[in-house]
Amino acid sequence: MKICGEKELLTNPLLKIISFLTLPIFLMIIAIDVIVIAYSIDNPEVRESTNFYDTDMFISSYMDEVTRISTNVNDEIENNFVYDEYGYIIEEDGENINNSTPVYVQDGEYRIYYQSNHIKKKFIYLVVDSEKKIAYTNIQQTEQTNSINELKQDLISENKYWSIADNNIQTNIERLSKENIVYNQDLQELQTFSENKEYYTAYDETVKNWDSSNDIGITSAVYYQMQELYGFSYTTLIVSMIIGIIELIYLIYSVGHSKEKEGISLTWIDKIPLEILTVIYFIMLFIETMLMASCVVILTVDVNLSLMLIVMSGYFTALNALYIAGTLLKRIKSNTIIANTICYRFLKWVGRKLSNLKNAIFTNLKISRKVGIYFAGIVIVSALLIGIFRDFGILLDIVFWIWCYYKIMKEVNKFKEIHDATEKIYKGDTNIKIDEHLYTGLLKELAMYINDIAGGFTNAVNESIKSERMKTELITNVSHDIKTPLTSIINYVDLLKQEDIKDEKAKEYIEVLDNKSQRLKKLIEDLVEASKASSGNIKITKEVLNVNELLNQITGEFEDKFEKRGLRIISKLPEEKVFIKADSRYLYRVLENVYSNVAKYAEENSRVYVDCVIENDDIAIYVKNISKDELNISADELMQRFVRGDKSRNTEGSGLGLSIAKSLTELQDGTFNIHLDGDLFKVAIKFKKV
Amino acid sequence: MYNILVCDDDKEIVKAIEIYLEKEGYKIYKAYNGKEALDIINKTELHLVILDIMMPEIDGISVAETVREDKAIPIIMLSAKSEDYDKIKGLNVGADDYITKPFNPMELVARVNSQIRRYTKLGSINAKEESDNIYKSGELIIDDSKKEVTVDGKNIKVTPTEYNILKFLTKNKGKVFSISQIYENVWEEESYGAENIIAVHIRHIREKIEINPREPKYLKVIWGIGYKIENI
Repeated sequence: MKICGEKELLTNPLLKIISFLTLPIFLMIIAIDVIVIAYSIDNPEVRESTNFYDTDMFISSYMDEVTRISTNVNDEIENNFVYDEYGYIIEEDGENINNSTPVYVQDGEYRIYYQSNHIKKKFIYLVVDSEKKIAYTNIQQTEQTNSINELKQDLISENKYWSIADNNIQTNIERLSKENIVYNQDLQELQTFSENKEYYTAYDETVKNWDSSNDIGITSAVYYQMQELYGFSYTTLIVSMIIGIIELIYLIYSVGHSKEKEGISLTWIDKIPLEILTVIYFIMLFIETMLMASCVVILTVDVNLSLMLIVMSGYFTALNALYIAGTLLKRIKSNTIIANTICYRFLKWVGRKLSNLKNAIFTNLKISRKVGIYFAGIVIVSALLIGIFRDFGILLDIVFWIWCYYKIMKEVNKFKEIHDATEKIYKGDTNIKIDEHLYTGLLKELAMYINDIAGGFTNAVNESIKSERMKTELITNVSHDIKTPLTSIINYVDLLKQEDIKDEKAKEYIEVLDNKSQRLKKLIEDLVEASKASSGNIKITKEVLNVNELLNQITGEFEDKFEKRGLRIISKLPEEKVFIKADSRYLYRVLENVYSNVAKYAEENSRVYVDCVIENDDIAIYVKNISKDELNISADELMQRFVRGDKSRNTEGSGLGLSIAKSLTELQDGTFNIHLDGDLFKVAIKFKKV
Repeated sequence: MYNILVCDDDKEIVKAIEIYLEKEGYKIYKAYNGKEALDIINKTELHLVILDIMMPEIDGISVAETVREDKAIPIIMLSAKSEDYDKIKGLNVGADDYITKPFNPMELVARVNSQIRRYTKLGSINAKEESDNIYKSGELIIDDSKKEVTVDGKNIKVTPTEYNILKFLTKNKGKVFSISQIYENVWEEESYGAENIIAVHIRHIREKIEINPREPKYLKVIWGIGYKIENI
């Protein structure tokens, strides 16, 4: 099924983030619901009973407390230990460990130990040992409660109390009365300790203090919480499961898709090798578990804060797991789950090395066999020497190895000689010849080949110089032959112009002839010059020139031509005089060509910028103008012979000007470059500063 | 009436030159190779010879060398060879001027006129020796008392500024002056941004006194250094 806008749906970042952030919440709701339902099935009282004090949970936790108290007190009486309210020993054999004052009150012949003077407890008790005349209690000590009877009254006045004295149970908790047998087991255990002892206990649910010393509080909290949650746990479970599954499916499909890219886009996290990712994840999981565990510890101090923290850390744990699942999914989708592991990379590397080794041995079997034999020979000889001469053989081996080393180095040095010769050839000295007779085998062949290449190279260079010179000569000679008839053409056209011709058409034709013959003349002159300049067939005489003077002179020369087309020169020259070394005549030719180019092709009534700038060791001359025609051509093409920026070839000029300028500049050891930027035409000429 | 020999193996070129020079009132003798040229030179009293270099049998260079053995008539070389090397070679064998093909007819006529004037009026021009008020280089003469400039005996009209620049350069002929030096000497004050103006004036002067301003004979430009009047 093709959903309309499937791609938009899969790449919607907002939708993805919302799904990603909410999915853990639904997962947690599902988890909590499952726990609640499971707990409710396990403890039917949560669903059925409405009064906590009628439940087995209350009864068993109450009896647990009683048993615990009896054990503790018994322990104290047996060992003469005195515990504080948290269960720590503060007095041993009547000796005060913490150097605090004794915490008992004398009531007749009884000593009453108050084990909790600070906080009012939920579960309170009084244990009286009639034999030893000791009483323990965790009831808060007040003015009114200083005798055992008063304490008893205090306990019985609580709404839930239970006491046993001389096997006589008194209680207002129905299920804990004598008739009930649920707690018989506990009671029997209690009775074994309770000779000469009386136990009075009570539970005061109105006390809000958190009492870590008893489980009843926690049990009641869980009971009420479960009961509350159970009411809507099925509804939320179903809703959460539906939304969660939809989100999960959506995330599975959409993970890795992005608006910017087709296919699966991977982030840097997705590129972490799988092993490292696994280690990182387990470390994070460990930290998260520790965090949750510490939240559980806080449970005994502050339930609400603890629960909140547990929920939060649970949320982040789930989020983290979801993210890791996402990157795994992306790896599977993009087929990198295996490729992006350290193991795989390592195996691949080993494979590559092995194949290299294989290539090294088998591609040139002749040589590898030879090297192998030499190597085996060295090993066998070394072993034989030791075998025959024993200890003395080691000395012989060392001598033998030194000899082998010398032999190898000799070959290596020969190789180095050939290398050095080749390097010289590479650097342009093509006249080098390697003496082939010094070498044997492969090295001899190598030397021979290199000699051949060097020879061919020399020939090629000479040939190309010769052909370039011949080309120039040819062009020069041909130009002489063309010039003679051209002279007649120009002269007779001129004579025709002087005739009194009435026919307007004839006049127009003569004008065309005149223009074209003049252009032909210019073309031939430029052609000869271009050919000479590019072949280096020009004698350059360099002298020190003042660039400021040169640019002023040229600007003066071209003033009229520029003015005719409304061009205004704006020149910026350095304050001080700058000097370069160049051939004055040919440098003028370079700039003349550039300026004529500007005069011909610049936009009418525009400005022409001529700047001279000192750039480190260079003097740069920049000529910038706006082209009147579109420059649909590259700078390189523009400098090639016979190419012009505009397509129209019927204007004046040969199209060789810039090519000549470039060649001439380079002959004078300068650089000539053209930059085109839209209609901006910029020439950069650079020379070394003097 | 002055006699001019035109020698070129291309008949049409000879004919065209004849038309131009006859209009100027010269009598033209025509030759189509070196041999014919030498015959005419030996038989006729000539005032100028125009010689092509590349000709069958005897080439222009050989003709010029032969002429120079016993005659002082001006020779103008006319050739398609435009290399510096060719020009120097032509001038070295005794040619007085060198024109490259294809040439501008006006330029040819001007050069012919110049050579004829120089050759025929040699005595009278030489009479005008350099003095306090007269500065000269070759046929360029500046008479400071009349504020007059003549080239090849022809009067040249120049503006006062151009005159001052020309006078200064001719007075110090052979020496190269930069733009600011010229300004400071002519105006006798320091130059501030007047560089382009001087360059423009120089070009105007060149256009007035030179036959071909692109290849000046008197007012030379040394690019990147300055200007000078050649000491001829």
